[in-house]
Amino acid sequence: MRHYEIVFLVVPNRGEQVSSMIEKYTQLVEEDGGKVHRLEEWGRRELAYPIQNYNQAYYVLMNIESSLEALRQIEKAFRFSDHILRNLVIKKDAAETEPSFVLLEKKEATESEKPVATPAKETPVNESATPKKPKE
Amino acid sequence: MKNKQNNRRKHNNFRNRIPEPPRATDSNIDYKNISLLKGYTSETGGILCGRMTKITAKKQRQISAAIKRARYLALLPYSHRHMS
Repeated sequence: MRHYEIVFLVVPNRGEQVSSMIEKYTQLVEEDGGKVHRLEEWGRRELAYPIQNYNQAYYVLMNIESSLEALRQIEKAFRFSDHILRNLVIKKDAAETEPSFVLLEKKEATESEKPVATPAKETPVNESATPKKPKE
Repeated sequence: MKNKQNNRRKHNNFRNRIPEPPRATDSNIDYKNISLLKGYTSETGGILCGRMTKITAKKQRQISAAIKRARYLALLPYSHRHMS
């Protein structure tokens, strides 16, 4: 059993599939006796540069404790999925449960924008990929 | 006030392009900490060298590794001239 940190980017028009993907990966981890320590959906974010002509992507962060076999299976799933733009797997020394910097920054941004806003979790936008900015 | 500034200039002579507000500490160097990493990149998106940033060599290595990870995930740009 080892600690890993996984980030993956999902194609923006597959926002509704993200939850089923997460479910699948957590299942893979937990079937093998592993554990998901931290699960964060950063939601749809603007990419710093276009990837495969997409300007936005859906970000998910997972901190897991799992065996190598389970991780290999997840990596395989990443490779054969057409909806995953990028994925990053890092070995970690310990479990991380605190909210990450990205989530904290996001929270700050939303709080400064509208202080009375409900602290609702980011809900996936189910519309087809239509970036707010007009495409060139 | 004036005195203070003068002193600072004396000390930092050629290393005065230090990224100001968020300073790197052992705990906040992370590829997810975008606002911190942005302070250590140039206007064009390049990584500032250790001579500019004035942080320890160890931290500079960690920062540059974190920037590269953030770039891979499109949290930071490789260049300011990306086609969009």
